[in-house]
Amino acid sequence: MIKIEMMNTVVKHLYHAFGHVLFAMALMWVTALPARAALELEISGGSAIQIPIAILPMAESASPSSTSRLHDIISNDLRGSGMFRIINTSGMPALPTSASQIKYTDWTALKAQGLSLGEVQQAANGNIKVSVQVMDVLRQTALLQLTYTVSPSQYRHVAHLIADQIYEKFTGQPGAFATRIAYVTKVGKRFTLQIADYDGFNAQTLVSSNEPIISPAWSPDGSKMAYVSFEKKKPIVFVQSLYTGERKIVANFKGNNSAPAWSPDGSKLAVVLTYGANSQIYTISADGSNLQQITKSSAIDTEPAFSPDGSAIYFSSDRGGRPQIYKVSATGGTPTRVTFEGGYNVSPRFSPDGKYLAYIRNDGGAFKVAVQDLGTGDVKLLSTGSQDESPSFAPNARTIMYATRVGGKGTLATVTVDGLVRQRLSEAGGDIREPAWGPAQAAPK
Amino acid sequence: MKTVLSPHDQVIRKRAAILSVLMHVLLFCSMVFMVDWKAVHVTPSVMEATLWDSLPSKQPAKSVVKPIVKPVEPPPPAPEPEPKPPTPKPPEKVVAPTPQVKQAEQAADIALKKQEDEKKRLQEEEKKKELEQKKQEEKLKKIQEALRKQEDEDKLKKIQDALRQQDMDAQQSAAAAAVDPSVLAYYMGLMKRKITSSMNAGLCPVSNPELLVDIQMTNSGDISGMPKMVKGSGDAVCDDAVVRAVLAAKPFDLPDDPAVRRKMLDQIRLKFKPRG
Repeated sequence: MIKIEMMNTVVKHLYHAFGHVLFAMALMWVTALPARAALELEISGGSAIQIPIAILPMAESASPSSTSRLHDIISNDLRGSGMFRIINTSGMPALPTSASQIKYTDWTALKAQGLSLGEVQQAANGNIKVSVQVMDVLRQTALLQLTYTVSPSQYRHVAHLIADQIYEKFTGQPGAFATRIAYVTKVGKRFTLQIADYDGFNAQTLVSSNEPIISPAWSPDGSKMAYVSFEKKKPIVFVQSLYTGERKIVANFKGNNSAPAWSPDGSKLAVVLTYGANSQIYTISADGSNLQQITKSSAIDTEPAFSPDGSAIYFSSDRGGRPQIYKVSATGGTPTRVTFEGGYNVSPRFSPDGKYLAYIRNDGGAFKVAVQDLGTGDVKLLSTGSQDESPSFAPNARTIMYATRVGGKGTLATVTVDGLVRQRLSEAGGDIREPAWGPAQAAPK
Repeated sequence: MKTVLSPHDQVIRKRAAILSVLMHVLLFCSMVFMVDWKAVHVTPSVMEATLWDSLPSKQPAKSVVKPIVKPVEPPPPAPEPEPKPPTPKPPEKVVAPTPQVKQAEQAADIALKKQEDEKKRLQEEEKKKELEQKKQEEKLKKIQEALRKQEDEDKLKKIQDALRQQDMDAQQSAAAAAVDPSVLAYYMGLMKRKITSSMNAGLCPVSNPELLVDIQMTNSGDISGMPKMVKGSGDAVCDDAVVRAVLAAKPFDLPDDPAVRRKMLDQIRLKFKPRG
């Protein structure tokens, strides 16, 4: 206080001496003093990759026969995406079945950020009614309220739909659990082209033959399947409707007809023909007309894939000596090389969003799935096998399915694009290969 | 009773009577003069106020002559007078004063005297006026002085207040200085680690936008209310991931050191760079 008074006296004297100018200056000086700063904490980066979530068992008063329960299917989907960590609830004494029963402190103690619960009831006409609530544990609010009334045969499908909704709610990206895949099995000498849920369940046969079937390719709308069958003792490209089962030959030219790939608009296919001499890339209308040669080289050009915008065709070629990936305009022209890293890169496949290119790389004698970020050019090896092949993206571009060999037998596996989560699909017996992940709007069962 | 007066007494008596009459005449004259003087010296009124019993009727009086509507024709322009060459005036003759003139001079003297008297009177009047004005001015000055004084005091008070505030701030920063920076850094580090480990960077754009989030801690290390997004990333999923990271990281550890604890219970601004 003494100090203040002294200052006051000084100010008084100065004021009387210099008057208003000094006053203005003094006031400016005093008011210009900075306000006291609050604490600031810089947080760069984040090490969490998975969202902890609890998927509680549903109160199932009507439970269709299924090897797994609804919450197990949802949990498996979310876990496999690599984006979620499923909290083990087996130790919990009493699990809530409605939002009003939730004791949030229990779940925050378990570090859960999300919580799903619900019930399965009998509905009219033999249907089941599935009601699910997803809660935000941290904010103690409801995130999702879902109700499905379906036939009991759709039990697994409903679980995938719920998982898709949860996935999208937390990640902002659509899920790809309610999607389907195609693959070829070889049991004994019998080759079968099958279509199943993305997790390998509910497999159905599209076509089977004693001769090899290879290269299944989904039409962009998910209504047709193109594939190569050797049933006529030589490779021929077929297109088959998934609704009617009707099929027709699209490419049956002299020599080999192989590796069909749909253009993004579904109007044409890129195929590989040995029509002239060596394997070259051609395009042909989906009805088998209008054949057009795209590459003209003395090398082997094969495994075409349209870029998502349809403007270019990427393919494998040994024109540079060793197999590498090249691209060429979809109407033909001079190809340019795409991959430079590594001595062997084949089987290019685009992510549906056009951000990544997946392919098989020979990594010191082991064939692995590699993914190249087309934005940065960074390449990452994703798989750990030695004979991995046929990479195929999920429609949400988050996961890649590929064929691998375990114990001398072919099987299917998935890996997230960041390489963090790998899963092997259930083995139905036999040799499984040539997987192709269907589009988001998959064909009806 | 009969009083016998001597002839001498009688003479004195006459004189006294004359003197008395003279005095009365003098007094009367002076009285008349005074009244007249008073009448003349009424100070001119500055303002005249007319008092009315009732408001005058708005209706114009009947006797009021209506304005002539007929426009007055402008008079024909007067012919410009032709300039005449100036004719030299014959010098005025000096006339010797005559007895008539003398009379006139006397009258002029009286008039002059009167004029001088009038002048004096006006001067006095002026002096009075000036005095009055001076008094008024002084009064005004005093008021202004008082006002200025008040203003000065206000301004001084402002400076004093500002200084007092500054002193308080200084005291507070002195208290802040008492905060052990190593203790603060340790606990802020703990907070950072907890938030980082619950932050899902993959949910934020690769462009690595900066986010600002304000939190207010409670004494138990919890967060009071919801974290306040001061600056978002423009990506709803990323913003949500950041808020969830903060909520999932709580409760935070708080030190026992009261100064550091107090500091941490202030608002904390979290500056996120999700992609590192």
